[in-house]
Amino acid sequence: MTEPRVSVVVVDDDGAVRRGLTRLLRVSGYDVETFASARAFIEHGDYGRVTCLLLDVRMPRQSGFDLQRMLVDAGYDIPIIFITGHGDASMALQAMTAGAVDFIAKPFDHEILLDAVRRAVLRGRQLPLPKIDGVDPSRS
Amino acid sequence: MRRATASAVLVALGYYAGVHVGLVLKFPPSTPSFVWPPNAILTAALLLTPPRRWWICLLAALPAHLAAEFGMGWPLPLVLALFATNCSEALIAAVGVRWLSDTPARFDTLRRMTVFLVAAGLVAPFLSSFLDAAVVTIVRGELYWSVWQTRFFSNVLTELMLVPAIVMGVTAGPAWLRRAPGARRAEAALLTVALVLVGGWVFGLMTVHPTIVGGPVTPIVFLLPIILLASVRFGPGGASLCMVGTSVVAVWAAAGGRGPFAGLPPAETVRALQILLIMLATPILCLAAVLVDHRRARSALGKRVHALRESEALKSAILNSLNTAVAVLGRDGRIIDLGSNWFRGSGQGGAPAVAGLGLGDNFLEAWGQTASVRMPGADEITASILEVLHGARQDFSFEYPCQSGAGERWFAVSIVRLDRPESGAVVSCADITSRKAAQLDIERSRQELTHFMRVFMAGEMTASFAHELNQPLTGILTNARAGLLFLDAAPPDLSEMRAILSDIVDDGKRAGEVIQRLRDFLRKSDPQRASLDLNVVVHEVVRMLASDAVIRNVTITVDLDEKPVLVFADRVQLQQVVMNLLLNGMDAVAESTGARRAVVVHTRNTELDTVHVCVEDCGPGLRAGTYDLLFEPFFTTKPTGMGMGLAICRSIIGAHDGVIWGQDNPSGGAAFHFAMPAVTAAPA
Repeated sequence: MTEPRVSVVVVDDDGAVRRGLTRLLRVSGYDVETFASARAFIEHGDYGRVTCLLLDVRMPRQSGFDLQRMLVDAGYDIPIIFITGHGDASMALQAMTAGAVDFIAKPFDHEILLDAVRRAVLRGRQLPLPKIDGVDPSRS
Repeated sequence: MRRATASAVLVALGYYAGVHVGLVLKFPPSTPSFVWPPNAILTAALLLTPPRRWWICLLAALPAHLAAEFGMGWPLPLVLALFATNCSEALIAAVGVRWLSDTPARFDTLRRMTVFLVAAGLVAPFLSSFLDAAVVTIVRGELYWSVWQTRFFSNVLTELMLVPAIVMGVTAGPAWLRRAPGARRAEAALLTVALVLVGGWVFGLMTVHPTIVGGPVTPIVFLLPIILLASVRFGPGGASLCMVGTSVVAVWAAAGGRGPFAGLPPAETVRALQILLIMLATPILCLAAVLVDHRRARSALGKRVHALRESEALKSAILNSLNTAVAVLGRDGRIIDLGSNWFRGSGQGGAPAVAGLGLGDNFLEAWGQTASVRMPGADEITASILEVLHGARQDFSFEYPCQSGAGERWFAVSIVRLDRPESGAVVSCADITSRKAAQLDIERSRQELTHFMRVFMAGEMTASFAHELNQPLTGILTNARAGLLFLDAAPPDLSEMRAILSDIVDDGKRAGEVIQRLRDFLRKSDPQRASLDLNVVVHEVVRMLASDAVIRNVTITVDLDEKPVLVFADRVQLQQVVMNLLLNGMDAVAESTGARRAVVVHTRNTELDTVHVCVEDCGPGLRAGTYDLLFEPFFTTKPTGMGMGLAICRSIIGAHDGVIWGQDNPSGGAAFHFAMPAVTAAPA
């Protein structure tokens, strides 16, 4: 690997899924940081270093879509891959329309996931980005 | 007022006529008469009049007395004094009778008749004659005792003859004349004719003289059969009239110098007749009173016997018309009465313990012998039957099955205490096989419907279950794939591999649990009740619905009692109720456009030994007017609802002796509550 290690962030409310993804991505050569909820990511995430965001759609309180909209509204263009245990075509369409890289249904084949991450990294540009303190979590 | 005037006029006329009759029947040279009617007429008037009106009678008699006696040329003081003595006799008689008799104007019991005979027939003439004799002796210089005796006997006779005849004639006469049947009238007429003929013959009014060889010295005894017959057939009234008739005939004969005493001097003839009639009248009147009293008592007894027979027949008809077999037991358990249904209901193919028992058999023993070998709990039942038999318990009923050739039959036996001092019981025994079968059918249908609703709910949650399973599957897949990749590294990180495998095992278990929960929830089994904690039940349901809530973007909050909320219930059925209420709540929240998307479950132990569970939502609330319909089958407000969910919830809670209700929350949204009996003892 000649390019600098890229940072992938996983936001999923399910601990087992988070740990599995972390291992899979690490062993595939990525830096991984995980958050259990959208709110935890907003409060503690270092948006500037994020190359790719793996985002669960259905989470208590704020959904993955909510987080995507917040980031877009705040001007961040982080490549997002949605993963969901419960998805349908309209949901996928909504995600893709809002600019997601991919929409993957659980359970998934690891090649599909890694391929999507690779595409996200290719698309990702590390731009200097403003902080998003002003995001109002309650707007969901 | 008119009545008082009429009776006063009658008294006056009677008195006036009485004086004249008395004067006509005088046998000189004695002043008093053979009979002296005015006093008896006055006595009868007083007996028929309430005491507050006595003065009217006495006042009415005064002019009659003056008018009748002034004609005699007697001095005024004598006339007035005689009036006073006449009044004194009537007053003593009336006061005595009123004081001693319960009904002064009736002579239909021995006691009433005796009171009359003593007070009016003896004491009143006895006392008043002293006054009368004194007055006559002073004014006219006659012999005191001679006057007293003459007056006493004539007044005793008059009182005995006239008073009952007048009183009964006034009180009962008109009714008899109006209502008596023709045969009675004919009988009375025949008796009258016989009396006149025999009397005329006896007292020598007829030319044919009594000439019976070896007959009695005086033929007066030939009157006795007629007088006795009158007493027997017509009571005191008839006896009294008969005596009056006899007197009239006797006096008529004596006045004409005929009759059995014709040989005596006139004064002695009078005395002899008086004594004869008095001696005859006294026992005859008593006999008539006893007879009528006896007849009345016998008739009353007859009526009571008849009523008793009727009631007996009614009782037995009721016993025989009952649908159930009924037997009446004495205190010792012996059968003392039976409905005819007993043999139909308890006999052929009937209840084994009591089959073929008849009157006099001991129900308790038969039950004890037969039931104890066939039925569990028979001893407790026997003990309870004994309690009822001995009056320690009001009633007791039980149902029991028994195997017969045609399959299982069910019987309901009810034993009710017999409400009488010596205790006992009424047993009824009914074949309830068809009712029992219907009950079982209903229960089976209810359970099937309940199970169907669980399957239906699970069907609605398919997406949720998929999500629930996808999570561990995703964990397993990613961990396994990462593990494979780890193995490619050299050397493989063994501790990481261990962590990976451990995560895979946990996820596998988690997936297994999801499936197990679903299977438990969908399992079709008979309800099994156990002591369980509603807090745990709520947790289980919330766990099952967690994915559903996430998918629907609804928050489920639990607010549970700190202590275990213990109930004796079927776990799966309560899960079903809680799940139904939570799913309804989430549906309601989905309808609402409000900012809060939450459903809250509360559990509480109450102070009334009940537990209370409430599921609140932030939806639009219940529609007005639907509170009563909510739990009716097929009532729904959802486009795709079946309307069975809440109906089944009510059936489940009802089967657990609880209640369920819905209402609007003051703060918005709907709230569904259910409450059921708590298990108070700590779980074993």
